[in-house]
Amino acid sequence: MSEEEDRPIPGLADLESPVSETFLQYFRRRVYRRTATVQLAHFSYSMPVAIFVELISIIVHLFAVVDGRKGKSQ
Amino acid sequence: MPANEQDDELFQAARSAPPGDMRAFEKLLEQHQRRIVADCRHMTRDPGVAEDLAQEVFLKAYFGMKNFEGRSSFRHWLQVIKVHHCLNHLKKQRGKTVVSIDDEGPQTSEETKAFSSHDRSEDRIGEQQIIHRVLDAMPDNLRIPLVLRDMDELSYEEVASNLNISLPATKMRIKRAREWFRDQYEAQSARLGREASA
Repeated sequence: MSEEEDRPIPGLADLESPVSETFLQYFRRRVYRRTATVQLAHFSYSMPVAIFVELISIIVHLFAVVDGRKGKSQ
Repeated sequence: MPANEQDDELFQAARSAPPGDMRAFEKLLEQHQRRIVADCRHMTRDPGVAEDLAQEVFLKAYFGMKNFEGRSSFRHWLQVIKVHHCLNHLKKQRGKTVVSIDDEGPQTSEETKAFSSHDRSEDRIGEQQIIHRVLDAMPDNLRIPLVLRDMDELSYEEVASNLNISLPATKMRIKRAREWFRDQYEAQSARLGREASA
């Protein structure tokens, strides 16, 4: 392999293409969209869990109240 | 300040920024966007999807910042993300269109014809535009290794492992690609010189 053939092509490492003016704007939008999707996914998982935990605590509380009344009447 | 140091500073600022504050990352994006778009364009030879791919590369970098261990420069890290993303895109496209990185004979006929008749009406064409045209006309099996080596500055070993080909085959393709590039670049420059003097 000759030295000439083995050398990188000059200019390729810094080759640039023009970018549309909306590039940054679209990037921001995609970041917001993805962040919103992640938050929504997190919310749709954590919300039912929170409701379930609340229901359990209400039921436990109700049982505790009923037990308390039974204890008083006896 | 050298570009790498500036990148590192901006990267640290972007990493430690509160959620939603993208100012530091946007500066990094502005510095690298034209190069990443050019890379994506020549990996896929599709200017239509180059910006989309580049945006996805920056999205991966933005959401993957926390996992970056800083063992290489930001530029190299971004190049590696870009290489994997574009190669995955090419793999998906391979089923739809004929995009091959396998070793085929030089596809000079159709592509070179298209290249030589490219926009003759333009009077002045910069060096970068000539490079774009030469790369656009280069067959996939030569262009992709050349882009990975000379644009993305990956080592021969990294190119070989990314393309799943042997190291000697990688070196041979890059050698052939450079020869092809130099021949076509000279021919194109000479043609433009003749046109300018005529």
